[in-house]
Amino acid sequence: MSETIYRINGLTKHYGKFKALDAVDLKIGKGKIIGLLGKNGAGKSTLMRCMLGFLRHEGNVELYGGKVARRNHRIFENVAFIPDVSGLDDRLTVAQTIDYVRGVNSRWNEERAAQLFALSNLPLKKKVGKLSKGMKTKLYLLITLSLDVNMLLLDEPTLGLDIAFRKEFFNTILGEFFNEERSILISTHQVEEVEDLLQEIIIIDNGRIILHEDVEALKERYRVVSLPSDRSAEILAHSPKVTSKTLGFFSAVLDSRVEIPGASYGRVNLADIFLSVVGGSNETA
Amino acid sequence: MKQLKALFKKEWNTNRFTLLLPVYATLFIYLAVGIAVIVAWSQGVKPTMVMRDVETGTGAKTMGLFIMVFGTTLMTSFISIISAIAIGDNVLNGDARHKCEILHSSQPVPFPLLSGSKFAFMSLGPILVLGAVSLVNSLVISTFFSAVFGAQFGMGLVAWLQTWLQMGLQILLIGSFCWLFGSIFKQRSFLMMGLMIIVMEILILTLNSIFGWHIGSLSGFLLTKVLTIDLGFNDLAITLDYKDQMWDFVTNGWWRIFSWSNLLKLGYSLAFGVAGALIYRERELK
Repeated sequence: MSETIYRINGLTKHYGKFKALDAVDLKIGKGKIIGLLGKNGAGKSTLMRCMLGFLRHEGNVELYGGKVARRNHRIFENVAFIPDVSGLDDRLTVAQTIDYVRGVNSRWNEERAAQLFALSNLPLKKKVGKLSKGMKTKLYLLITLSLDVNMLLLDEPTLGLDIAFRKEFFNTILGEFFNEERSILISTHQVEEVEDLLQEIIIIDNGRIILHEDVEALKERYRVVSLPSDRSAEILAHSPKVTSKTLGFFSAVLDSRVEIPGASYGRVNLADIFLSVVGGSNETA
Repeated sequence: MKQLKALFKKEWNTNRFTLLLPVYATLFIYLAVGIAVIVAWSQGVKPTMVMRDVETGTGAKTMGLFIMVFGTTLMTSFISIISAIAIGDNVLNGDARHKCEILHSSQPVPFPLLSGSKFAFMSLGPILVLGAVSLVNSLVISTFFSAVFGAQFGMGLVAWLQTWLQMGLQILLIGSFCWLFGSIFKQRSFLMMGLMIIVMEILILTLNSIFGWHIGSLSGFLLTKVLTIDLGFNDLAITLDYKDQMWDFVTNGWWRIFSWSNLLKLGYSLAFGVAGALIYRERELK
């Protein structure tokens, strides 16, 4: 099987006159956990929906070397998706939902499903509509993890959930899904929580991929530079996109090659990098 | 086969109430009739009393049975048509309304199987329910008429079969027509269908009056050529007491069912079904 799962070239998507994606080129290899970061409306969800064949688009999207045609069911023999809203069918009970996916999805792994659901405390007879948001997300997650697919797309899957559940969610994914043959593309608000999981990040802004890089290499490329506030001009001379003032110090994320005498240097996190690349408010979704 | 079963099961789980509307309505009528009979009985009235002064032959009584079964099946079929219209919209737009379109579209199910199962559920579901409910009705009515009045039991079943087939086709046709509009409009498709027909009707009238054209009425065409149904009401005017005329009536009923116009209706239904499925396929998921 190919080392590349997804190969995207010149992907462009218009909603009327609005260009949601602008000539996106992307390659997603196997055995990777990739973060997709961008502000609201940057094009993250549109990109994922194009990758799943849900939307008409220009350009080329390939999955394992085959063109992704719109509404081609074969995509889902290799890819599973958890959307940003509780997208389960609230008219069905938990048991009916499991039964439905078991019946329609040829990738359903009965053994794994039995293990996963045995450990969960999901009320099987309850209507999905009556479940809490956390329970719904858990059900969606367990159903998805019961599928033998090689690519998982997560579009803000933990939005609105408490921190303990979010931790559990990502730990479950790591423990039950990820291996060297499989890849995960995660779009999330809470960058800090997935920071340790991610191997690559993709930053998208105004429909364009402005950065796609290995996380460790990126953290080597940037660092936080701090100087007393009265020397802020020395930092501003390097035109940082975002700066901060704390306890008499002025800081910014700058290229690691920048050396300022007397400055203190710190390791950057992904939120810092995101802000330094995109600029604007600290809103990464 | 496993996928088809799961798809049907999902539609059954989400549309069960609407699909079984004729069953609920029939049960309600049985309950009402049951109460009425108990009350009548308690007051000393026997069911046969209504017929005691009418001296008729077996033919007329059998025709009475025929008309009773025909009438009850017809009434039930109107509820089945409502059920088919509601299901047609729900199988196409219910997932979007309940914000679960992505879950259902993220399964490796070939599109013809997905849309085919929806169409089959929308059309065959109400037809089968109508068949089952009206068969029970016809058995009850036939048993009563043959036991009490000596009518020919089998004629009740013939009436059931003829009316069921004829109305089944009508359910298929009307359901498919609404399915087509359900694929075009995600919200209030039935209302939009009505509005669209009215708008086109106004447009035709305007063009005809401005340019002196003679474009036929769309609603007229739909009502008289497509959605119309010939149940043989005129034939009911025949004298009822002769077996030969009864036989003619039944034979004419079969000719009406296996006619070119019904074949054409079947064709219209399939055309509406395929067109609706293709339009549904072109939708973008939000």
